[in-house]
Parts: sequence; structure tokens; C-alpha cells
Amino acid sequence: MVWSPNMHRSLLLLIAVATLAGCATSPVQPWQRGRLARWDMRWDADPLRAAMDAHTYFSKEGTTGAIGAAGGGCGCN
Amino acid sequence: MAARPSASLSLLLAASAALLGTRSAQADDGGGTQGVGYRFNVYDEDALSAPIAEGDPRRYHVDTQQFSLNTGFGNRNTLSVNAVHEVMSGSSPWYLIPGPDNKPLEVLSGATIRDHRSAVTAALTHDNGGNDTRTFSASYSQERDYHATSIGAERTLPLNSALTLGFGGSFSHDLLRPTDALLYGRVERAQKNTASVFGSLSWVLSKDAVIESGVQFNYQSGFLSDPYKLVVVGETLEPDTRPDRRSEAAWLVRYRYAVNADAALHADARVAMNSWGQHSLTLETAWYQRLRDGWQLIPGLRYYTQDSARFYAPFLDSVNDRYFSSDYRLGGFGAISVNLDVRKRFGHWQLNAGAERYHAATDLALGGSDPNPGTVSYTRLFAGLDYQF
Amino acid sequence: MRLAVALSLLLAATAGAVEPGAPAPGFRLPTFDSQQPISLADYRGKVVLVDFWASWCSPCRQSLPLYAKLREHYAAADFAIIAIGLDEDVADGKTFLAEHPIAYTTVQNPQGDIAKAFDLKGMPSSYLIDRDGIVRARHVGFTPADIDVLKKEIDGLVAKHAP
Repeated sequence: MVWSPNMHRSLLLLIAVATLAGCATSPVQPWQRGRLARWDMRWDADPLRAAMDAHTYFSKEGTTGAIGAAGGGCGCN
Repeated sequence: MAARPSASLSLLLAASAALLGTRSAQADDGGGTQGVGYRFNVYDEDALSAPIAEGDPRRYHVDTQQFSLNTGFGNRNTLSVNAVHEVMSGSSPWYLIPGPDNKPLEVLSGATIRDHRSAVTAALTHDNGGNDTRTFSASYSQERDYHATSIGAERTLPLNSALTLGFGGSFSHDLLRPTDALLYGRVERAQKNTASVFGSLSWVLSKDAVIESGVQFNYQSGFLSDPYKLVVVGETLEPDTRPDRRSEAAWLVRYRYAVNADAALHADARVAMNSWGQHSLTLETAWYQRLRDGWQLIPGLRYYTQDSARFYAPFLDSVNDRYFSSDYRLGGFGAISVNLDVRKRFGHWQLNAGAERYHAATDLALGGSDPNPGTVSYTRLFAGLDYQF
Repeated sequence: MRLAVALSLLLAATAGAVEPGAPAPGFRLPTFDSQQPISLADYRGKVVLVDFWASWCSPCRQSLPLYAKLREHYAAADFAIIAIGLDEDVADGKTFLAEHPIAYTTVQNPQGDIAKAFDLKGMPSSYLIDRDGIVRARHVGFTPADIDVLKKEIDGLVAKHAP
């Protein structure tokens, strides 16, 4: 997979859009956040599984995560 | 209540390398998730299907136990402690040799590896309310040949009612003492340091949807080669030799959508690259379906693709570069995995179980790939019990 | 009386902020069990704590038993608590109450218009209203330490008699 300059530019644009998009259209009121508070709406609904997944993919793939950062690495083969 | 806080990005992207529960830094919501949890995981690799030159084709098997405790204490503080113990056994790819038609053949380590690893992480969070939180964490991991210590800190800050900023950093120091070093001419003692920083922005799109965008940078230095792997160079076997530094960057976007009162959709995409010339793309999606009587069904799908490091080669005729490695993880491949989790709640208790089937191959790589016979396929199963305070 | 309530609602709407010193917006909401409407105006002359909660708000869960104790502490005084449940699906609120019964008056406002009238800034939120219907304190979020602060505020308000 070769990364062309165009791809880099599109990526930067996407990042810019994603970050600037914070100007919410009509704000969601504090009492309307019931659905957002549901456990299945979390970034990690199942923290133990997320940890196991991340460790497995990190051991078996080349670029997942970062070896040893913030959690201790392993001599995974 | 301000916008949902960004989760601990570094914990997701990296720290979980220690198998410890990632905390999702959720404030003000219905989950407190204070309680204890236990999981038993079984990881079993398929025997190598490609023809091999030597060694036991049955690969790795790992049994892992996870324990977690989350409890509030004092005013606005939460303590999270996670422990892991795993037992590994099986053979591992050692090096590749040219077979008939110069196609690479795998040589696996003959002796069955048997090792165990223990790790513990503690994280302390102080919540100022309104999704303004501070977290400090530390962890330690040890196995017979590898010790790793790390510390980290992160902060979440609401920028306005819809946006939350998250940022943090961590540092890890690893010590490696390969087994049978003298016997196999391996390095006897080496170390590796990793520094990592991340930043993320989460945005409440509507009552039903949130999106998060985050970037992470890592810098590693020290002994980064694999002391247990060799490379055929001409007539000789040389040790796996990689550069002594590597920087990485990753960009992750996560989307969560409450489809209705009983279902939610998760979609994650990540692109990553490193200074060794590798690039990767990960796409992951899951559907959370609530059924009656406290049952939950969660099917999921993941696609991963990566290309090879500059100095990757199954074997070499002669040395033209200072660095060389035939580790399949530095080669190109694609992988698809399907998984299904099941959960059942009984009052304060919850039973969990799940299965994953993962298959990696060069023909699944985006843009194709050179031969990489060491790609892995595996099955993963787990079962666990949680108790919520 | 109704004019005063309407005026205070209007004031609240135009002012935008229900801060200490502003009149409390009036409301008339059905209780969870009997569906009998309760209005804030019925409590004029008493010190009232209006607490906004929802089944999905975890600090709310912490606050309920502590508020019940607070109610007992002031049982002899002219003090009342009205809890307003903001679950958009009332059934969620009912399930929550079945598991965590609330000893004091609890009403439902699934449309959230009263929360808007009170200019709610976060969940949970509580407003302490004096005998004249004026908001004297506002608390956003909840930790157990807030109870002591509330006690001091309530003592001060209960000491003043209604005109």
C-alpha cells in the first residue's frame, strides 16, 4: 500500500473537519443524555474484552497500538 | 452535563498491551460500573497449513485470566485495579528458508515454549464533575524473560456542551533477558523505552450519536529486534536485526449510534504508520442488541490490513541493508475476524461469554502482498462473571 | 397566584438564567404513583428542595438515600423535597423507582420543559427555594459532601419565617 501525497492531504482535511466540527448545531441538553449514557454507547462497552482484544492484536499484528506504552509490554511471539 | 468525555485513548491503542481493563472515563452516566469482574480467555492458533521445513506446526496456545476491581472512594475519586495472569505454550516461527521454486518455508521452534506472565495495573481518577477528570496510572508486567514498568497520566476537559478534549502521555521501560541466551547466541540483556502522547476530541452529534477523533504518537528506542528469530542470509543464519528506534503515528475515529431503545451500532476506523515503512488500516464494527430478560447479543466484524517494513524479507541471498527480519508481523497481510458475545444480567450479577475467529492471509491485504507464510489464524473464546456494586 | 407563577415563568424564560435571587419557575406535574398533579405553588411558605434526577444518572443514585435522610433530619420543620424525574421514557423512571424507592414526593417530566425552565446546567441539579418562592441556591452534580452544604443553607432559610 503506497501513500501518495493526495492521501496525506485528504487525511489532514478529515482531521480538520472532525476537529472543527465541534460547533454543534443545536445542543443536546443535559437531561436529554439518557441514551448517550447507556452502557452500549460507551467507547469501550466491555473494558476487559477491549483489553484482551488490544493485547491479542498487538501481539499478532505489526502496527496495532504501541509496544509498551502506558501499560507494559510483553515478549509476545 | 457537558459532552461525553473522550475515553482513555492511549489505554485503548496501547496500554491494553498489558491485558488490563481499559477504563472508559464516563462521568455523569448510568454506568458507574463499580464492581468486580473475572474473565477466563482461551487463545488457540491454527496449526500452520502451509508446508513447513521443520518444527512442530501446532502454534501458540494461551490461557488468560483477568481480574478487575473498580471502586469509588473519598470525594469524587475512583480506583481501578486490574490483574492478569496468562500461561503460554506452543511453538513459534523461528526463520524461513527457501524451498522449491524459492518459495519460503517456515521453520518453527522445535521445543515447546511454556511460559507464564503476570501483570497488574492501577489507575486513579479524580472527577471534578462535568466530565473534567484527571487520571494517573501505573503498571507492571513480568514473565520469565521480560519485565515492563510504565506510568501514565491523562486529562479530559469539556470545551463546550458538545465537545470534550482528552489528552495524555505515558512512558514505559522494558527489560529483556532472553532465555537460553548463551546456548543460542542471543543477546543476554537488553532494554527498550517507549514514550507516548495522545490527543482526542469527542463530539456529541445528537441525543443518539457520538463521534470521537484521536491521534497518538509513540517513540521507541532500545533493543527492538526479536531475540528469538533468525533470518537466512545466503548460507548463514543471522539474528533478527531491526533498527534501534521506531516512531509511530495513529489516527482513530470512533462512532457510536443508539439505533433505538434496544440497539446500538459501533463503528471504528484507524490508520497507522511507523518509521519502518509500515502502514495499516483497521475497520471494526459491532451491533449491540438487547433482548428480553436481561440478554444481550453482540455480533462484530473486523478487517485489518498492513504492508511490509522496508527491511522485511523472508530470506536474503546477501546482506544489502543493515537491518533484516522475516517476522511475519513485519510483512504484508490482511486479516478478517468475526466475533459474537453474549451477556446475561441477573440483578447485580452478569454472565459473559464470547468467541472470535480470526484469519490472516496475504491475499486479504489491501493492494496485495508478497509471500508471508507465517500469517496466523486463531480461535478465541472467553467466559466471565461480573458483579456490580 | 397564577399570575405570579405565569410572570415568574416568563421572567425565567426571558432572563435565561435561574440563578440565586431569581424566582423559581412554577410547575404542575403528575406524581409517579397516583398521577395526581403536584404544583410548586402548593408549597409556598415552606422551604423546598427541587431535585432533578434520571434513571441513567449515577450520581443521582448516590443522592437519593442521602436526600431521604435530609428529609428526616428536617421532619419537624417547614421543609419539603420534590424530586422531578426526567426520563424521556417514563417506564425507565418507574423501573428505577421500583428498585430504589424514594421516600418523598416524586413527579415526572418526560418532556423536559421544566428542566428547561429551570435552565438546568447538568445532571443531577438541585434548587433550594425559600418560603417566598425565590431560588436561593443551585447545585449542579452531586457528591456526599454536598449534603453538609445543603444543611447549612436550609438552616438559614428555615430560620426566616414566611411573611
